[in-house]
Amino acid sequence: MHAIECTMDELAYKLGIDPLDLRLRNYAEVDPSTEKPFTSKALRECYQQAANQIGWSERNPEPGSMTRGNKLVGYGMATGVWDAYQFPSRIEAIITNEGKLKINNAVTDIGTGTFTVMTQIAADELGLPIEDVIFSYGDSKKPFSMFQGGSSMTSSTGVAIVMAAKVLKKKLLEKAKKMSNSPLVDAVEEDVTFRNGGISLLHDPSVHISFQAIVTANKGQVIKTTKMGKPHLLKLRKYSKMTHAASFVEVEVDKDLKTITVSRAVTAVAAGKIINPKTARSQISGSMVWGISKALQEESVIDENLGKYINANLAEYHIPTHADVHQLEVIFADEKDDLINELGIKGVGEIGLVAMPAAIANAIFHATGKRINKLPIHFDELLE
Amino acid sequence: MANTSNPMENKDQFNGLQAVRLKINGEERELQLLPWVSLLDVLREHLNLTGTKKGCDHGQCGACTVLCDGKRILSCLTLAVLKDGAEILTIEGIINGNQLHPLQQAFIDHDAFQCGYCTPGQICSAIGLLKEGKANTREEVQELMSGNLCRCGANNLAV
Ligand code: FES
Ligand code: FES
Repeated sequence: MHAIECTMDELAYKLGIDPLDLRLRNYAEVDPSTEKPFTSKALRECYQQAANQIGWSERNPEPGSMTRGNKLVGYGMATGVWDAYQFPSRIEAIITNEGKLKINNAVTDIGTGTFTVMTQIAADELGLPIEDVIFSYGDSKKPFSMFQGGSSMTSSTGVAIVMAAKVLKKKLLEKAKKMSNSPLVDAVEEDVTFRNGGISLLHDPSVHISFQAIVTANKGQVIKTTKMGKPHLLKLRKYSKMTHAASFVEVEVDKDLKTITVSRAVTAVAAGKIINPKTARSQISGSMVWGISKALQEESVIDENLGKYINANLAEYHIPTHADVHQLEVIFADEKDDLINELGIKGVGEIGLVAMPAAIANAIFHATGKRINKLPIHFDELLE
Repeated sequence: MANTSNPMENKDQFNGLQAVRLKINGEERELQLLPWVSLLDVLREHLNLTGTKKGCDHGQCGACTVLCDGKRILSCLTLAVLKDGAEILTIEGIINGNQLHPLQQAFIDHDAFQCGYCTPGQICSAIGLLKEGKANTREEVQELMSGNLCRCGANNLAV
């Protein structure tokens, strides 16, 4: 991706075409590698929104032409794609004696917001307030989940929760219908809605049976279901499933010392529906920091005689500090995806990283007129 | 130091332990410690205060930052015996009853962490910085908090 996106930039400059324009002219409506259509692709919106936000059209496209005090200023952009993964995940969903929903799954939360997001999804599905959902996780004795990674957790475990909830709702309605004098005795699935901790008639919400009452009528036995949620592979085989992103960055290069600073970066992401904008934003901005790190800092140095890493410690293997991270902006493009899965989501994580290093390298070219095709880019590469 | 007699004179009784008094999160503690034990290990291993994290044990990451007599220090580079009599404040001690410290609340409000491993150090460091009266501009905070690394890239949100 880095090589392609830097080469696209080089090509654009050789042809005298705006790098953004070159991409729009060659915009792929179907996946060129498989000739399959995308389940959805709002990359054009990403380009447009991120370009507007950073003020792309206001820059002087001439390399080396922009300055700010003693700094050369450069703008660069690049595209990112990432697979929209979905793995099997088994959910145990239980309506407890108190009428609360308990979800059991082995998934971990490494800080990505999994706990929050899964609770939200489950609450939405069963029409419960967040406080009445107990998401119990992080234990391999619980029902199966894949590892946390690859931006796949929300689409794997989250979608599995939706599937399990559907089964559980069916069960709850059946039990509710069988209660003595049940006002829902004639109701079918289409007639009811799940809200306020129970089942209501759609056209007459005053007809309501609480989950707690259903459990009580069930002789106090909790109502539970287990379901293995899986992607719809047969249907999805016909499509290319990708998240897309566009990163636009501004760099400052010190005229004398050639030190490089990413002074501003905007990344727009199209990842289907966003369940929680706050935690999703943190995922993307964290990835953008990793992008800065990959472009300018992280490097393992090997002693070629001994075959050992000589900088295996945090003082010499550099990652961004607070002082290296400046203005980062995250945009989520509207993207509706009815094909990908029940939630229309594609996952956010790595997608914020993919485009950043190339965008930074391209911005360094714009600032200095120097094309550096190696990572990380250190100031010494820019010295005359 | 507490033990001034020459331990070598009575080899049989000498087990290397030294008496150290520390006031930790407001509580007086009397400890018998080996002289090479770091304050970080005392907190985590001896006192079970595992809120303070060990990232590198080399003074490179800031995860182990605690407040010692109000100043932020790296507890992994501090020998506990050298702090005899000092007052130590760790992440466990900054809560006020049930009320989160305003910085804890701010970290939550801004989603300023992901895995949370660096967070106790970030918060202790920020408290120290505020006490030093140096957290006046964004640039100052960025610069002076740069000893606290974050692998999750929650930098921007933390600042
Ligand atoms: S553990 Fe002390 S600085 Fe890393
Ligand atoms: S939040 Fe994970 S290291 Fe900072």
